[in-house]
Amino acid sequence: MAKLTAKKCENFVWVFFLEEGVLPAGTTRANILALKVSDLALDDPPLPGDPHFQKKKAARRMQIWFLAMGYRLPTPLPILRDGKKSLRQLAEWIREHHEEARDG
Amino acid sequence: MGERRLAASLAIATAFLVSARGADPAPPRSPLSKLLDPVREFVLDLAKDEPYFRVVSRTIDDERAVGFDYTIDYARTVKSAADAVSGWQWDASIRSRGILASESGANRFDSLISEAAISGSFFLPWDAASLRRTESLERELRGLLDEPPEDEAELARRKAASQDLDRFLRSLRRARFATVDIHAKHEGTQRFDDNDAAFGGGIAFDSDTIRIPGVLAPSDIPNALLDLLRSDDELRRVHPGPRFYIGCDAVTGLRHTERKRRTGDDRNTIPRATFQAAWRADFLRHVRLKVAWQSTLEIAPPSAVVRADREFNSHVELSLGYRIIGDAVADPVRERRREKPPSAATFVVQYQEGRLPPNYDLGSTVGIGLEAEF
Repeated sequence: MAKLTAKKCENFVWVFFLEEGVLPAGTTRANILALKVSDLALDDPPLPGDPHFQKKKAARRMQIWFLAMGYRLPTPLPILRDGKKSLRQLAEWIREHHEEARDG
Repeated sequence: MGERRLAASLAIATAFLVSARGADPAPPRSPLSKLLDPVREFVLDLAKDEPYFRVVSRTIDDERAVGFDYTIDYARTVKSAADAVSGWQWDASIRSRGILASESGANRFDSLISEAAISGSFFLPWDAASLRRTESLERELRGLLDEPPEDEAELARRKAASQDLDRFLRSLRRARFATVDIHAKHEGTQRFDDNDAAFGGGIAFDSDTIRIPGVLAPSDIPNALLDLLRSDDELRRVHPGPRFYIGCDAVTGLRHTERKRRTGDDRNTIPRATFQAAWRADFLRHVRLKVAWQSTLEIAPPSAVVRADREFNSHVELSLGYRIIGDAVADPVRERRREKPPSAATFVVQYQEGRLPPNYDLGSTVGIGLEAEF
């Protein structure tokens, strides 16, 4: 099974965050990739006991979504923890790091 | 004096990082060096990665001292979950947060908390079977990537048309997620005159983790009200529910704080419970409301502490922000040209009241300022 194309990884980022409900007002398919991770309503304000709680949860959901499509994705948490990363960089990271799940 | 100590600590830390980076690995590796390898890698990663550094400027009080909140955070995943659906993931972090003022005497919330923590996260799916790969589910999910929906309404229609997709996304949303941690904290004042240390653990979760199926959760009510305020071009956001943290610590070094003077209790070590909550809601396009609450409860306090009304200490922070520079929505043209996005700044009105460790002095301020990220 071939890896997902760059375009499909970008589409995944759009569909995933649309479903998560953390996009700022006015976000569309055309402009989502220019958003930064810090623009998402994740862990703001931070919970002092776990300032990355929602990012960990979103990262895990992303991995499960990929597993259901037949791919294994390492945790994208390092990207989500870096507020300066753009969602385009997230899509590129996903494109580079996902691989076929051999055990399905 | 305190500043000089801070500068000295930073200089020592930098020297350590530089020497760690420049050191040649010794050919024979002892069991101890093997044991310390993950620590060494973690330190080298800290030297490589840029820290997350966030500053919020604000006035502190009537004396017109200026101040800012700071947050510094290094984190790294040390072990990923072998199975994304049901496995554990482990993360390590070093972080520091606090409120600094140009005049330390004017700082009503003189509290700097530095912490090292290891946390494990787990996911408890409501219906694990519907999260597992099946041919029909795989087809539906891939279909979403081939022809993605234009908006939430279309996504809702696609879900309604596909039982597999609807079950998968609903199960993913209902899955209960939580993290547990063990930590060591240093709680000090701005000038490091007073400080203590806390060692303990806790659990973080959100309203979805404790949701009872079929019952309206309290967090659904403000969310529903905020939906009435959304403008036409806004996405119908789900408004993720509030997050909570419950923990327990052994706090020691209390003789280096103001505790004895304030309560008469001379104990150096006490058990303490911690409760925290945080929530954010966005509405009217550029407006965001943030609520953060944290409290500590001394376990089995002596009567002197109860009489001094110091067994329960809490701090609440309400913030209303309006983005004034940089649109909330990214500019795709600028992004295509790979241009740096314009700086964003949010005008913030903030109210905070309560007591923070280590001295738990009561403070109450209304602050206005700009919030920016670097």
